Amino acid sequence: MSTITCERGDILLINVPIGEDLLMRLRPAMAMHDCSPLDPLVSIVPLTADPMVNCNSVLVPLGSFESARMGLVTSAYLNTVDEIAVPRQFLVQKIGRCPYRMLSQFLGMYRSSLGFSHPAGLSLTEQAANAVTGEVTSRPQLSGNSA
Amino acid sequence: MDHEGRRNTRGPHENDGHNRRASSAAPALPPALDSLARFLQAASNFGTEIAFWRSHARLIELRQASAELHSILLSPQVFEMAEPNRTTVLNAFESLLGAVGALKEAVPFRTRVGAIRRSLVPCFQEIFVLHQLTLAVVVRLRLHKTDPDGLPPRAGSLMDLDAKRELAQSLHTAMPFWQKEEWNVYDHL
Repeated sequence: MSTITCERGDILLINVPIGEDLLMRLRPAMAMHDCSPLDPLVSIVPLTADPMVNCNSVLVPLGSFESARMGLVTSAYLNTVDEIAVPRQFLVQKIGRCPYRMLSQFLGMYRSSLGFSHPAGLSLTEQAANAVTGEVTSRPQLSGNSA
Repeated sequence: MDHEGRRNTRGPHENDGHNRRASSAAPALPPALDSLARFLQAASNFGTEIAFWRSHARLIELRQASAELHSILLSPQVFEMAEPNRTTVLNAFESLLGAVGALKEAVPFRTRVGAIRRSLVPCFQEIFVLHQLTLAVVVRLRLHKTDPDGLPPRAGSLMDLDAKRELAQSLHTAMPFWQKEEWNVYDHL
């Protein structure tokens, strides 16, 4: 089991089952929340070769400082899709970190596109943890952000 | 960057006659390797002095080296080279990667309180880019060298099939974008 500690904005390599034969390959993703080695799940958004559909994407071109700081070896898109909770066992390595300015830009886009669409504004890992413990957490809802 | 001797077809680690023949098969490589190696030699001699990096010429040299690496990344013949040339080139770039990595760690860009010296920020950023581009060349050469079925062993291959299926399901929106073969370079980091 991986003991990696990560912060929001860290770029992680995760083991991903690709294709019908579920061949394990490494792919980059960005951590969306801080997590300790005790957290069973890590919330990520994928970095992909092409922009994903139905979301906003930020291009990180190979040869830019942002890409170098993120430890990427290809051009990649950062996508404002719903964060995905990945079991910690699939986490392999931390390869870099999203520079502050780009992270702020991305999070701004993220919040405006779907960040408030989660019920009660909880992250997926929080929702999963609450589902396990049966806890119901209520947070004040902002009005007019149900998109 | 000193351009004398750019016609020299030998890379920094290609000293015998066999390798001279190998490099002649890859015309895009030797000037880049040669000039990068000379720059890194100068940087390892003077690179721990802030005055060395304050010269605007250093930034130009760094940018030129990055541009050369970019052109290598855009040259398919470099990555489709036959053995033993590919191994020779890979070894040369692995050595360069070590040298650029050491440079990245050694240069005194940070002040005593850990902040980056403002005047040196462009150089600092360009060294990161240079390291990244060298790494990108190395992993692409490693990818082409590896037998497609002979992936490096990873803990993931031992995981439970149900856990893999569950993860594939939760990542289904990203899967079509992750299947590109060029992205298998991440297996070779």
